[in-house]
Formats: sequence, structure tokens, C-alpha cells
Amino acid sequence: MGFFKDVKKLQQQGKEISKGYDPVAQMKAASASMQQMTQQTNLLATGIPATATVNELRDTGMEVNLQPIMEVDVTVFPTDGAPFPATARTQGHGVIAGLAPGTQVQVRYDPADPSVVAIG
Amino acid sequence: MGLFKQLKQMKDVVAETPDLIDNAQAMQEAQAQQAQAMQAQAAAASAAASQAAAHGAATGNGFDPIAGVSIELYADISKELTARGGDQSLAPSIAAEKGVDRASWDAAVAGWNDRMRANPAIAKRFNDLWRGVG
Repeated sequence: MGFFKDVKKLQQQGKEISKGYDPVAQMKAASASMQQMTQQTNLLATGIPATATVNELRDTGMEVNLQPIMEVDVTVFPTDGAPFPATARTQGHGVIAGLAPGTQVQVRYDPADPSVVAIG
Repeated sequence: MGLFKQLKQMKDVVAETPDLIDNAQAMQEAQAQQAQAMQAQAAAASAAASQAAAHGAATGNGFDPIAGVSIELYADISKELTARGGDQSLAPSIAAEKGVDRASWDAAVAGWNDRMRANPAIAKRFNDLWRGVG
């Protein structure tokens, strides 16, 4: 195969690859994901502590630093209130391995929005 | 892709970069603090899972009502209580509105919470009922 034919083929392949590539959308998604993780971390510092039971782990399909981000469905048992359902996000193979369904974990929640909690 | 389209995309990428950098720095700082807490949590969680499994076997996995309070009714009252600010002192009166007396409510709280802690299937059912998806 001739050199110019190769170059043309490479050019066509490059166009095919860039068809579905939207760097701005990817950056926005990355920013949003990082904001969520930061929000969870801040919750650890300011949220109200409670115990929770892990019910289910769901894969979000996202990764940060090659670590999968998982959504954790929990039932929260506040010290002075009725139980309520909530979700948390967490990442890292080691952490996820310790969150099997039935595991009791410490969480922190925001009374203004108890649907989202942080594990820790 | 045309040259102007490429230039516009590049401009958009550059405009998005400061936010990305700010968020990355904030996340990095927050995660450094979280990492230590999570390591301790993971070790404690494994031990707790073993305890939970043993406890579940001891208490059974039933969905039978406790003191006449079904899991559906327990989720309903719990949701109402959370909607009213989560003040536990209101629980007996909310339970009474749903036909559950004080003694039965106290027994239901202790029993259902115990079952949910021991069995994630029961806790998941409670979550689904609370969220109205069950």
C-alpha cells in the first residue's frame, strides 16, 4: 500500500474517532463528578453522624484515577430519629471490598437533605 | 472538522479549564483527608459484616409484622416522621394517627431496626417502600 494511501486512511480513521468525541462535554462531566466527591468529603466534616446498613452497591460507570466510583444504597439509623433511605458515593477497590451488603457503616448526613450521605 | 469549528472547540476547552483545575485541587485536598478515614472504616466494616451475618442468622429473616406493625406501615410512619423534621418525640402521636399505640410502636421500632441492621434485604425493602418504588 502506498504512503499517500496510508496517510489518507489515517486521516479517515482520525475523523471517525473524533466524530463522537466532545472534549468540552467530557471536561464538564469530570468537573461535575469532582464537585460531587468534594461535597461528600465536606459532609464528612460538617454532617450529623449516624449508623447505616449497606443494602446495595451500584456501579456508576465512572472512574477517577482508574478507581471505580460506586453508588451505595444505605438505610440510615439516626440516633434520635426514624430510619430513612439514602445514597452515598465512594471510590477505590479497597473501600468497595469492605462495603458488602449487610455491613454496618458510620455515615454523616445533612438534615436539610438527608437523601445523600457520606460514608466515614 | 473545519478550522473554525476546531478553534471554537479549543476556545470552549480553554474556558472550561480553570473550573476543572479548581475542582481537581479541591477534590485532591478533600480526598487526602478522606483516605485515612476510609482505610479505618474498611477494616471496621469487614468485622461488622461478620457480626451482622451472625446476628441475621440468629434473628431470622422474616417480614412478619412486629406488634401488629408491618414493614409497609413502619416505612409509612418513618417517612411521615422524617417529613416532620425527624423529631422522635413526635413518633408516638404520628403512630397513633395511623392506629398504632405507644407500646406497639416502641416494639416495632426496636424490632424492625434490629431486623434491618441484620438483613439488607429487609432494609432494601424498607428503602423501596419509603421511596414509593416498592
